[in-house]
Amino acid sequence: MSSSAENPTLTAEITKPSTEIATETAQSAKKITLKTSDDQIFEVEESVAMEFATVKSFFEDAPSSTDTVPLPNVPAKPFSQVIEFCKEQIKFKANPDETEKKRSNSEFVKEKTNEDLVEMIPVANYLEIKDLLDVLNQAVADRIQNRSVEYVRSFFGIDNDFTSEEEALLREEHAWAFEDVDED
Amino acid sequence: MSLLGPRFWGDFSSFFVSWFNKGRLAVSLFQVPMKMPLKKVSLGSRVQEIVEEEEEEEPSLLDLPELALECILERLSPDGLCSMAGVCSSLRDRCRSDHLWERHLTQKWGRVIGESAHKKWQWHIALE
Repeated sequence: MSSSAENPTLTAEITKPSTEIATETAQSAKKITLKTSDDQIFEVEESVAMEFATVKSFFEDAPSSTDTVPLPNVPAKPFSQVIEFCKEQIKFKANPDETEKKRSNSEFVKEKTNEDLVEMIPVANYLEIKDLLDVLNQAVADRIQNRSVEYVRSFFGIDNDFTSEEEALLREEHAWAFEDVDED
Repeated sequence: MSLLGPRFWGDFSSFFVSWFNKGRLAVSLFQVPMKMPLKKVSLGSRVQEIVEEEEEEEPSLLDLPELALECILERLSPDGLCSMAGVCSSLRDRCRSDHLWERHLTQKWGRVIGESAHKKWQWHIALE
């Protein structure tokens, strides 16, 4: 609360009841407005928005800009999940704890559906959030790894474009790979 | 007739003007609220339709950015790659690419086959 004396313009922000304030610096209380492809407005703390390399470079080009940043390739639903992830990540920046970070990351993907994961990847890719992209790619790979062909088709929106002969041939060729897959 | 003349026409025209104004006002008052909700309703239902369409279409693994899909395949084990090859033709072509297999080859057999055998394999895939 001592920061309110140093920076009187932020009093309004600081008097807001929030448990996070104690860990925030006065600078990070600045909000950045982002607009998703479906015209949803997100007000994100600067420290979180700077996790998005794409947004960061936007402000490097125009440091004093207060404009809303358009994110034309980012729909609101996966974006809110991406923000959730980045908020967690910032905590580990202050005090790095690799095991705790891993646990938090696996917790994050565990509760997401396949659809959520596949929707978040293009967002993480567009916003250039490398850590998240790694986590998501690994999560999808883990979910595909020991699954049947049919499971992958139905849960990852892929149509089977093989003829029955082609498919039989493939199964024959890779018969060993089709053994011991997990139940769908 | 001449007595009726100016008064009658004066009254008539002022009556006519005020009727016209009221009428138009009433029409416009009547029209505005009638039009507005109609527009809103149709817009609302269109938005809903679009949302529903999007929901029906499952996000596909194949629509992912090239690099991301490549990263996912790189993280699969040999049997994972083989079963992914059976999912559809575009994944079959991707999963068969040599660079994905090279890593597995060197990881699993690198110490056994040694440098010369590895070179021979590279020769082999170059000739194919």
